[in-house]
Amino acid sequence: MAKTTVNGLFIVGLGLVVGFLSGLSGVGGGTILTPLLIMIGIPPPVAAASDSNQIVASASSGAFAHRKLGNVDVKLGLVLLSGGIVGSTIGVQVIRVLKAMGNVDFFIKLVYVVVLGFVGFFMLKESYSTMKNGEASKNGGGFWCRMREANLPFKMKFPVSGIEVSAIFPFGMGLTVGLLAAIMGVGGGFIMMPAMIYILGMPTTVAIGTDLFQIVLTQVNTVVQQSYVNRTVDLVLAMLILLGSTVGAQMGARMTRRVRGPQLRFFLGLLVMAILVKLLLELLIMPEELIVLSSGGGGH
Amino acid sequence: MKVALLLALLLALPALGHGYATKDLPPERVAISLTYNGEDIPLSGEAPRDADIYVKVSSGGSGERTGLSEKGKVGVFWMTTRRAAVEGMPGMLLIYSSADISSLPEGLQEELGIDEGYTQLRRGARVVEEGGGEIEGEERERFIEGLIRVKESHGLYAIKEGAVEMKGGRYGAVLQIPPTASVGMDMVDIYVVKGGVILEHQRKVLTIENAGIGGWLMEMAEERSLLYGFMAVIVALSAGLAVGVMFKGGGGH
Repeated sequence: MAKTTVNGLFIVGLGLVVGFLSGLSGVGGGTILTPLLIMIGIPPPVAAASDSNQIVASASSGAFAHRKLGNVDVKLGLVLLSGGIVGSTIGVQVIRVLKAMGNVDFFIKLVYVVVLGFVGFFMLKESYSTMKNGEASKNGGGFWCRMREANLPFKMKFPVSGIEVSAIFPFGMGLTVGLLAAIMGVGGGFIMMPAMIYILGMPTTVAIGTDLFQIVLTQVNTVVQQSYVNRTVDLVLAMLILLGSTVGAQMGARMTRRVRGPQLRFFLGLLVMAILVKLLLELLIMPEELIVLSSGGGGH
Repeated sequence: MKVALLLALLLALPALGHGYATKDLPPERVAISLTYNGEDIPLSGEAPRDADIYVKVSSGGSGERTGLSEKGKVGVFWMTTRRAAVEGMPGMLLIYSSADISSLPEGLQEELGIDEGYTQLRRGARVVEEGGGEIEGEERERFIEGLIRVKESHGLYAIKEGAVEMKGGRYGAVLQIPPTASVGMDMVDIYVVKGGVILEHQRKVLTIENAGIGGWLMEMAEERSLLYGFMAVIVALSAGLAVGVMFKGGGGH
């Protein structure tokens, strides 16, 4: 639990804004939301774990809808999930060890700086390129195409996606995303989506549905483990975010026709970079107080 | 000094029998619910017109242990370089008075644990390195000073001279329990002091407890964490389904 006093309406408002931007641009909100929660004083492990909890809610509604439309490759999703469970279990243990060492806040912020750097850079690059040339530059995976066709072990057929690949690929992808999900409290769509399309060669609609399916199950594992091992899930915080982000995402989705996508993604890229700079400065500038509480802040 | 204090106490005995009762300390329970953002507790009672009132709100005591991290520069980054625990300093210490604390005789300050700069607390505290031995000297002082600053910034330590108002034989104050206060029993000690002598001492217990759904969730998260995790997942999945029905599957994340 957060054990921090923040205004509930402010959290709902934050969820609303991030949900709106997410609905408008199609970019997952977790990458922006968790660092914003950290910036308003929520301890990083609680921000990440509670965001995971709200992702279970927000991704599940999308996953159910895609399942009805036949866009979920359950077989592939289960392979991704097996990797995701291994990755998120490792991530939870990494948090536990770092928490005991007293450097979990530093580590989460550092991982965010690195990941936001990549995400922000590619968002700016892609949106700028689209604004300039009219469409995104697609260098469609010649290397990955050769890798897919290479004679690797554990080859499996995935009829819903119409592909045949070694299970090593989806397992490794699930593991990477699960690890980041536990540490950062993100769904990992920003990694999983391009990986499914370019590395596995999946159709986009099935990639979206399968991504949501594996996100729900991976995050379920993360939430249960974070609650049990690290006691960092704040259900109230998660539901307040969800309340705002759900309404915001719907408003954003309805606004998509009125706003130009590349310009919006460029703006979001700048926002991501601004958050990165703020977090980086917190790591580089001497803190006001050199001695801080190790955990909690209570009076007993 | 002790003889003088004893003599003064004996002289004050008739006054002790007078019973300048603190009549109001409502409520004696502070409920930490979902909307809890600290609580103001009014305190009032009777006292001789020329007496001074000193109120001490404290929690924990010699068994209290607070973990601290010290930040240091490693390469270009600032991160935790050392961990230690301070033992024997209360979790919360709020002091309210109608007069300056310096007007209390030194011996009485020591006896009551009411002094400027928390000298008594500093003296009794113990600083222990995480996984190591006791820390002494300047480093000990640095950790204690750090803890006091953290507590003050959270509103858990405060000295408010002049915050108790005296009016025509009655006194009144508002105890400000900060949002960061934790559940447990707090002692409210009220001292009626005149001429450097305690005329009356009253002790009231203030219980801070979890209440409502927020309190229940907090207890669940701490004591039945696995069940709490499954519950968090079920609530989130139900919320997701509800959102899906409301917006006809317009989820995502």
